[in-house]
Amino acid sequence: MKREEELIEEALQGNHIAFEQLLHPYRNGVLNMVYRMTGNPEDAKEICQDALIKIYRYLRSFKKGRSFKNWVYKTVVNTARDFLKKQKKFDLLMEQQKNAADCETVNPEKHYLDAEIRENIQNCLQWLTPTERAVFCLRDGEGLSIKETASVLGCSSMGIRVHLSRARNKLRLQLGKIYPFKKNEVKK
Amino acid sequence: MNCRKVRRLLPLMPGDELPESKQAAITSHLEKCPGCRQEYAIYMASNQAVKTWLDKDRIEWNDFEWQRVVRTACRESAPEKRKPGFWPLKKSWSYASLVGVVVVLCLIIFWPQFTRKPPGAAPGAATGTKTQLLESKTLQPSQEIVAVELVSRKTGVKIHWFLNKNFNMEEIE
Repeated sequence: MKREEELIEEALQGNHIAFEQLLHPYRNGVLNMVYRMTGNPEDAKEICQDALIKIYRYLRSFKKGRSFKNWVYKTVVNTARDFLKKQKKFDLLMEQQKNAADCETVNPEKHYLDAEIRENIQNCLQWLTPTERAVFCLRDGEGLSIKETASVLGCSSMGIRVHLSRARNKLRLQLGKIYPFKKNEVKK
Repeated sequence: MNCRKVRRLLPLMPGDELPESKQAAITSHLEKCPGCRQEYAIYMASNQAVKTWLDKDRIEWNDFEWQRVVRTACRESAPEKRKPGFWPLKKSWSYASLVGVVVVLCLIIFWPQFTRKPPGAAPGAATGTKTQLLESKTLQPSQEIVAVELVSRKTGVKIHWFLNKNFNMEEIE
């Protein structure tokens, strides 16, 4: 497996295969992160497409020695934020998602369970601010470290901890409404 | 650590975002406090539940879709070429050169003012008119004269000099 610097050099010379190999490790991670932020798989793919165009266009401005992974995630997060600003309506996305789920007919039981899970997650995530949602998706969804998350979002590590703490607190409260935790049932 | 502090930090316990010293302090508090221990268990359970949901609700690119997306990205954009800048040097060197040029210009403009000689004798008092010092005295070299008034006997013109250096005065008859 070639190193990232070599792949970047080849991609800058017009080698599309090198560009594909460069982004291959991050393809599903960024897709799922955007999916969590938008709640719609089709919008997530569209945002990833736009982000890939930007990544390829500005590949030359990427400074050697820095983390390529953080740069990719940063570009994707900023593209998602711009998209959400234009969209503005998270409730509208929830409705579209519901309609899309109703159209699926492959396996009714699986479809019902999947839809319930998706709805539960989105019900919880909609109570988070955009920054809290991004922090939660990066840290708990994709497993990025605090430093990496701070680098992607342009915040300090302390700021990330604050947003993460608030996000988990809100999720805990929302989960308590969906599945009330009975004190005696919670094990150590 | 009291319960209020511990409960404020509990959301960060599931993911090990706290330094080891704080984790140890919280753990020792949890061993003694059943209320906080219950709350910690709820946080762990809720965090685990959300992670489980996130893992179940993952989407992936299929290979064909991914290849198409990459081909589209490469087709619709070309890597940005480095534009020839106004300054042939790197950005940091450009700023340093600019500062140097500004400093040199300031020196050229303001240096003559610092090295200017004090003004000489006034033309009216020096050209041919005999003047006499009013109340002239023989002064010690160490004394400093602030101002001198000269009066022409012939024309009666008065000249006021404001000085800041010592000089020797002579009476003119």
